[in-house]
Amino acid sequence: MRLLILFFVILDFNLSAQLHFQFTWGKEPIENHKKYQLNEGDWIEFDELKLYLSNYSLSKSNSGVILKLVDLIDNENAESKVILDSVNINSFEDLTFQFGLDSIINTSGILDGDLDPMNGMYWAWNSGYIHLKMVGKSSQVNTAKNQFEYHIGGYRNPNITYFSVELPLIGKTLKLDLKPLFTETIEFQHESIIMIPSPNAKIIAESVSHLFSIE
Amino acid sequence: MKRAIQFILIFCSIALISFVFLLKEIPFYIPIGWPKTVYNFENNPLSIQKFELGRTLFYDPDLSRDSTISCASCHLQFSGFTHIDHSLSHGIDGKIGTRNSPVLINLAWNRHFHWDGGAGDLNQQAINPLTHPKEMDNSLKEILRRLNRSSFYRKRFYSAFGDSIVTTEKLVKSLASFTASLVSANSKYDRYQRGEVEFSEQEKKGYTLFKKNCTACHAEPLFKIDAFKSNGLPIDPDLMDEGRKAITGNKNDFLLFKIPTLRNVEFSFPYMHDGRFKKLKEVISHYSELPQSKLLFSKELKSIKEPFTESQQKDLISFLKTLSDKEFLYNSVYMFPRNERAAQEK
Repeated sequence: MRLLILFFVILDFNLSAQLHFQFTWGKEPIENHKKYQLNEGDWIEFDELKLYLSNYSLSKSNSGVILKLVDLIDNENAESKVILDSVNINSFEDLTFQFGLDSIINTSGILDGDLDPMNGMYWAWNSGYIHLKMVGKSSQVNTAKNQFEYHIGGYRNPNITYFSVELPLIGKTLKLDLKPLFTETIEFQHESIIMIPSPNAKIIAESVSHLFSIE
Repeated sequence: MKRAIQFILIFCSIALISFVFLLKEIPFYIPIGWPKTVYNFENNPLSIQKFELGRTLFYDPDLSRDSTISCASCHLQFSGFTHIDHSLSHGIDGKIGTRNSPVLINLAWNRHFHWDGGAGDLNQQAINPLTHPKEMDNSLKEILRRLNRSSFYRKRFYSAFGDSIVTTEKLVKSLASFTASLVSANSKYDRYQRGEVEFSEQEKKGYTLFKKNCTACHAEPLFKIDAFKSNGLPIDPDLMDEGRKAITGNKNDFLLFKIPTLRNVEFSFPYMHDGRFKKLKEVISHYSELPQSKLLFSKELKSIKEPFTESQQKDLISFLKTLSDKEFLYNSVYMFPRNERAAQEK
């Protein structure tokens, strides 16, 4: 009986070891509706930032666990930014996950919770999920409202937008730095709106997959 | 004494009613010799409650924005669940879409849905017509609001799922329980295969021709394969429908469309993705002349080496008519749920 209690205590303790997700602009955490410096006097602000992470696996030398989870992260929703709260991440050294949702999840027909199309991350005409949604304004966008809107998704060849990411588990915060994406990859004058799976959507998704870090 | 008789009568009728309810069976089955289903019933176990709920939803126009269009508006049972006599289907406000509504037959064996395969799963498929601006033009939020405030539906969702709150997933899973159960496997062709009936001479000749020329795409027993092909039809300049390419963005998918089943083809006219042919004869003569034409088409059609003669065309049509399954087209379990609708209006 005493053993059992001890077991529960350990389990309880384990449950508290979570990973927190953070969108950053360089070193700074991104808050929606706040201006950040883009470059040379240009600014950028985000009104909506959402993304899907899935298929986590945690490992240490020869052992590991695979977690078939799907997380919809919304920058406006603090609760959604707590991930991996069902395992003790302290006992693992590496984390592998998928940015976006693979074709199996995209066509699984499971449509509840984070996969409910009501979350606004779903395309009906070309059934599938938007893996990353970035909506906002920038002085660099040459339209009346300075708006940009990127709905990045697609799970079919050749425009696949899900990528595997592997990181050493050396901290409690999983960060995604969007600054290099907007200063090096995205050109507003070329395309400030993407709403379909396309070669450029794939380029953006691939770049994003290199911008994650754990601190 | 009178009271006792009255009591016995009431008891008997209750027993009879419950017995009839128990006898009600889900019409889904896997015919002998058919492959495994593609639809994953483990994720959505079939029950008579879910099937009946899906059927009621399928025929309910209240799912559309202005409560005028139901799924059945474009998918009529006696035509194999397509929009008979309409080359292009019309939805809300009389708006015309760009395609001929597809038949709903043996969907549990389908990997791709819509002419361009835009939906890769039967559960997800329903969301497209429910929200498409030219079809039912509603939002999921509004549909769920309407269903959740209806005590009629709350009760039925409770008996189907053990929970009365209507969600996207429960909505589409109910609809899929109905559409996945639309099994057509009792045509003259099927009975011939089972040795129950004989084919006429003409049907036999047609069957031989069919096996030689058509089964690369319309393979037995489903009379389709899960693929996208070009049947040589030039693009309609008014519709500019690129087919599969619009979904994949792959230029090799230009003008490829999903291969439809030929089951019940006698009644599912007009034909092709845009309904450009009204008669089976026109379809056959299109394929017959295709190899000699300069049109672009998929390599499977090269099996047609020379044009079919007039009598061969008749033989083929006579075989195609053996794929008609009257039991399916007039099966009362798939029909408009009169009693449920009456209960709803109370």
